[in-house]
Amino acid sequence: VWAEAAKWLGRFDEAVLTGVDANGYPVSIRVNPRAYDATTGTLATTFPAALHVIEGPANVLAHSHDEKMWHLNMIQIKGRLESSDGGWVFQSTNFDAPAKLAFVQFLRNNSTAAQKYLDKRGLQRPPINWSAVKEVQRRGAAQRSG
Amino acid sequence: MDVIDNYFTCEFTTLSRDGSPVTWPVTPRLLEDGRFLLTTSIGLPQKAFNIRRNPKVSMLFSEPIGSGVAEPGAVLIQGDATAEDRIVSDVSSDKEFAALAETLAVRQPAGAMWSSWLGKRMWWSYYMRILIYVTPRQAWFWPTRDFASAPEELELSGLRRVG
Repeated sequence: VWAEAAKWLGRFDEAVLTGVDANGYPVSIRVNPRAYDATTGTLATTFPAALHVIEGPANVLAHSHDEKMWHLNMIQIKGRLESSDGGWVFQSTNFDAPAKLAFVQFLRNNSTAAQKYLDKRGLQRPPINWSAVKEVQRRGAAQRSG
Repeated sequence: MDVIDNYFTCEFTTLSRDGSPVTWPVTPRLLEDGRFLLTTSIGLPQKAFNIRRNPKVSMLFSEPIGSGVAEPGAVLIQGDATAEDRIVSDVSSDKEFAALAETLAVRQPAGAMWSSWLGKRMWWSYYMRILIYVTPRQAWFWPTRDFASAPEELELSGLRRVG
C-alpha cells in the first residue's frame, strides 16, 4: 500500500505535513514528497523547534492547481509523527488511492452529505440568489479583464 | 500580507474527533479586524463539525502558483475557529462573503460552471455555504519557503488592516 502512496505522492512537487503542537493546535510545513520511503511508508523531515510539534497523529496532503486554479488534484495520507534522532519521521497508517471515477464519487458523496445536513435540521433546500451569483461572476470577469 | 492576500489557497487543518489533523486546500479572506473568513458547502460539512467540537485550526499559506508574488515566502496561522449554524445561500447577504466569492471568481474562472444548468444538477449544494471565522492566536513567517529553517514569529496586530 505504501508503494501506491509513493506513486501518487511522486506526481506532486511538494507536499504538506501536518502534526499537532504542544498547545493542541495543528501545525504544518512543506516537505519533499521524494523523501517518502515506498517500502516503510515513512518520511523523515525536520520540524523547526519553534513550532513545538509533538508526537502523535499527523497527515501528509499533496495538492495542486494551475494558474487559473483549475485542474485540481489532491491526495492525503494519514499517519503519525514520531521523533527520531533529533529529527521527525512521519509514519503512514492509512492511504486510500483516489478512485478511477473520483470526481463522480465526490459529487455523489457531496450530494448525500448535503441532503443529510438538511434532513438532520429539518430544513428544505434554501433558495439560492442566482442573480447575486451572476453579479459576483460579472465583477470577477471585469477584474480579470481590467 | 502579500502571501496572505495573493496565494490562491492555504492548507486549512481542523482536528477530527480522535484528535487527528485533517487538511484541505481552501481560499480564505483576511478581514479588516485580523480574522479570516472561509466557507464550506453543506456537502462538505466535516470542517464545520470538527470546529464545533474543537476550535483549534491552522492555515498554511505556502502555494505560490498563480499568485504573482515575486519572492514567495510562507505564513502559518494557528487560531481558533467558529463555524456558523446558518446556511448562507444569498452571496449578497454578507459583504465579506461577497468579497470572498468575488476573489474566487477572479482566481477560478472555470468555477462559474457550478451555476450552469449542468453544474446546478451535479453539485446543487455548492452555493449553500457555512461561514467559518478564524481568530489567529499565533503566526509564523518563512521568507524563503525553507521550512527546515526557523520561522519568524509575526505580530498578530500586523494582520489587522484597521485600528
